[in-house]
Amino acid sequence: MVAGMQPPANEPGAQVEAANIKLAVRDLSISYGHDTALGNVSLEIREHEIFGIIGPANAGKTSFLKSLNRMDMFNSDMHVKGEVLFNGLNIRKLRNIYALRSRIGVVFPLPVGLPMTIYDNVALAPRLSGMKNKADLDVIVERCLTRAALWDEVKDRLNSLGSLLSGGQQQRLTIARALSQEPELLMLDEFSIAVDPVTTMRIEDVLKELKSEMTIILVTNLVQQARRLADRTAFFLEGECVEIGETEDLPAGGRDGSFRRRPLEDRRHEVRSVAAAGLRRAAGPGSGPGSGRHGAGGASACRGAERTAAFCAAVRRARRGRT
Amino acid sequence: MFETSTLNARNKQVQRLVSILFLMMTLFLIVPVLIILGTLVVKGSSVISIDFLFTSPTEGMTAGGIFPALLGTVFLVAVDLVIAIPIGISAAIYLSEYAGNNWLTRVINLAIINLAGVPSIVHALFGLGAFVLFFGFGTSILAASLTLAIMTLPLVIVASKESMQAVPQAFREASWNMGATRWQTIRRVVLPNAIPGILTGLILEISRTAGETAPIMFTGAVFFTPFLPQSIFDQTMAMPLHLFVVATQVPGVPEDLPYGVALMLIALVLFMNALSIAFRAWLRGKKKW
Repeated sequence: MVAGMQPPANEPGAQVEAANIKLAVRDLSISYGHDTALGNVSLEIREHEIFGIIGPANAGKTSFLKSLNRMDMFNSDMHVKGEVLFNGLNIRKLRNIYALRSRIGVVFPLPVGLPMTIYDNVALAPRLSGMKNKADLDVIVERCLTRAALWDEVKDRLNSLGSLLSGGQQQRLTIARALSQEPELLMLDEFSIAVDPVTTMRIEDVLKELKSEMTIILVTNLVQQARRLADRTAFFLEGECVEIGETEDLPAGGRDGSFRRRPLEDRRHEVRSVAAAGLRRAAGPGSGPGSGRHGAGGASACRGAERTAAFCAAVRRARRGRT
Repeated sequence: MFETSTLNARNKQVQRLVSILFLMMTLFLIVPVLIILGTLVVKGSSVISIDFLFTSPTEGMTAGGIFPALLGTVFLVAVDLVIAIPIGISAAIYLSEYAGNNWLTRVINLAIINLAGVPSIVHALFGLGAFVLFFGFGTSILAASLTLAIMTLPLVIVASKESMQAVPQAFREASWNMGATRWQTIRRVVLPNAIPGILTGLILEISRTAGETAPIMFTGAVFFTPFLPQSIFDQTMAMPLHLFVVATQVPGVPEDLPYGVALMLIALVLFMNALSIAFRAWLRGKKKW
């Protein structure tokens, strides 16, 4: 994909042509009551890229997604500050937020098969937007289920209950439902948590194909998954976006803030040393100053890279311990 | 290793004792039901016949049937449902889906709790003052049904609200995320899932309405009328009041007649409940729940 090959633009104000930017986030802060969930995030998501967001639990990833399609409207505790531009339009000033939401497909961590038939699940979004013609709906349902790699398994029982499918099938049903909106932006929130590895791989293949048609934000706990899919990845930690960069360089952002490709061995070595430094620092008091300009050279980027590496190392250790 | 210690033995004894105690308490529930139904069936079934159901009382209510009262109660319940269902379910939808956590919601919830706590005789006097006299409906089916509706609204509202709140929040969020408005979400996602619970509330409401005596005594139900009600502005006889009358107010009633009336009242309520339960089952079957 073209977007992935472009020179990295780590600064919020980086000069990528405006037409190429699907979503621009500026100084976004989210708080619940007095608790800040996310502070001063600025990033840009380009058209037709898979933008990964990784980070441990409670890092503000899900809140971030919620703020992008104005779901804060349904939660009176949730306060969002800052600017989000979707196709260049400020979503907080949009009159028709229903139209905004219908252009953004969302897939949740746990599959939500609505308790209606498989057909109705996928036909819901078109119906909500006023489509009644059965023939048109049939086409959409078949196309979306096919693209979500579920059609072959359910084509003979479209009228059975969607919530009776297995977890992995339900998740693909949820994806089909999101696709039925014909979204410009697809947000997946840790979609593989409740899905077996084989299904995960199938969904990942689907996502790679979808990239040509839409922009995808992929929130995941799995660094490996981000590495497999995402063109660029942001690392969220404790309510801050500590690092954004080309996914290939993910666990080893350079100390000078630049992102270079290095031979694998070299990188591994660096990860280890940086991780050790990061852990030493993490053990110290405080979580560091909030940084609004992530990856923008200097000490803060270096610190971000260390924290990223420390996290990755901790994940690897945890995995080794488990297996 | 597994020998029984004294402590084990005592625990086991206590456990057995407690379970027996709870069982006894539960059985106490069944006893009155059995006695009531048994007595009614034994003493009342001899009265019941097709004639009994479909003729008017005769000879100063000491003979004849119960048709006007039966029909009157069906009317009262029907009109009551027409009033209570739209108001109750609308209020439940508002409270469950729209209301924010603010003083207005708290006031409304407090009002519902208080409404549920008002004794039925107070409702009766309120109905007399408001509907019969102030609005000028006279003693009529309409006034009586309105009084019954106000009395039973809390049941409908609370049952409907709780069944809607039992619909998982994730379903709503999925729908909102697709660009659905709140109302589209309610209509396509929340209500279809909540309808069985709402119907359960209505079943309770019907039972309560059909059996109430006090609220209709002053507002619409009469001792005796030779005419069947023609419109909702007519007075009517009603089963619970008729039972009260034949059991206590009229001399010379054959002993088994009140039992027969009571049996029919219970049968009527059970029949209406059975209808709603069948409807609920049919809905569930249709939706494959």
